[in-house]
Amino acid sequence: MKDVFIQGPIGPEMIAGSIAAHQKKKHIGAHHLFLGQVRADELRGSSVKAIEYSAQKEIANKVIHEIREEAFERFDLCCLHVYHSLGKVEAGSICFFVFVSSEHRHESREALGFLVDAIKARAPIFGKEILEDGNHQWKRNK
Amino acid sequence: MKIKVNYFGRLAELAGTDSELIALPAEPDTEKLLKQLEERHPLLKGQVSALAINGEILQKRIKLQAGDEADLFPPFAGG
Repeated sequence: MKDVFIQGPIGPEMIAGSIAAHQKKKHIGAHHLFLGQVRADELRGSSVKAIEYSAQKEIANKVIHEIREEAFERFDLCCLHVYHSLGKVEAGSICFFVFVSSEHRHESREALGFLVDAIKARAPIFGKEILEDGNHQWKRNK
Repeated sequence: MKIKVNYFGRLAELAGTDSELIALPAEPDTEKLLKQLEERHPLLKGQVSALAINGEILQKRIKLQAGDEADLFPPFAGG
C-alpha cells in the first residue's frame, strides 16, 4: 500500500515534476489538481503561522487506499495520486495534493471533488494550528 | 487484562499522554473502555469522535481481548 505522507510541505517543484511525469501518458486528455494551502486565519488577535500535522498513518493510508479504489470504480480515470503533509507546514505552503487524470475532463473533475471530500472526512489526520503569539488550537474542517 | 490506548491530536493533550496501558474489568467491550477512559480523564468526555481497535475504525461496539490496541480520535482534520 502506498504511503501518501510527506514530511513537511509539498514543494512546487514536486507538483511540477508530477505534471511532467504524465506527459508521456498520451492517452490522458485532462488533469485536475487540488492543492490545499495552509491559511493564515486570524484567531483571538493572532494569526495562524503554521499547521503541525499528525496522523494514525497506518489507518490513514489504508482508508485513502480504499477511497482511491472507490474513485476508480465510480469514475473512468487513467490515474490518480494523493499526497499529504506530516509535521510542520508554514502558512502559504501546500499541505495536500490530489492529482487526477482522465481521457476527458468531466471524469477527473468529478473524481477530484469526491476524493478531496472523502479524504478530509474519513482519514484520521489532525492539524495543530500554531499561532504567531505562541498559542495553538486544533484545526476543524468545515 | 491490559490493553494499550493511543490518543491522537487534541485528545493527547486532554489525556495528558500519547499512550498508556489500561487495565480492564471482566468481559470488556469498547463501550466500557470509553466510559473508563472518560472517568480516568474527565476532559475527554464528549470529545472522542472515532475509535479504532487493532487498526480498524469501528462503527459499533465490540468485545475486547488482552493485547488489543485502541486508537482514540478527535474529529478528523486533514487537508
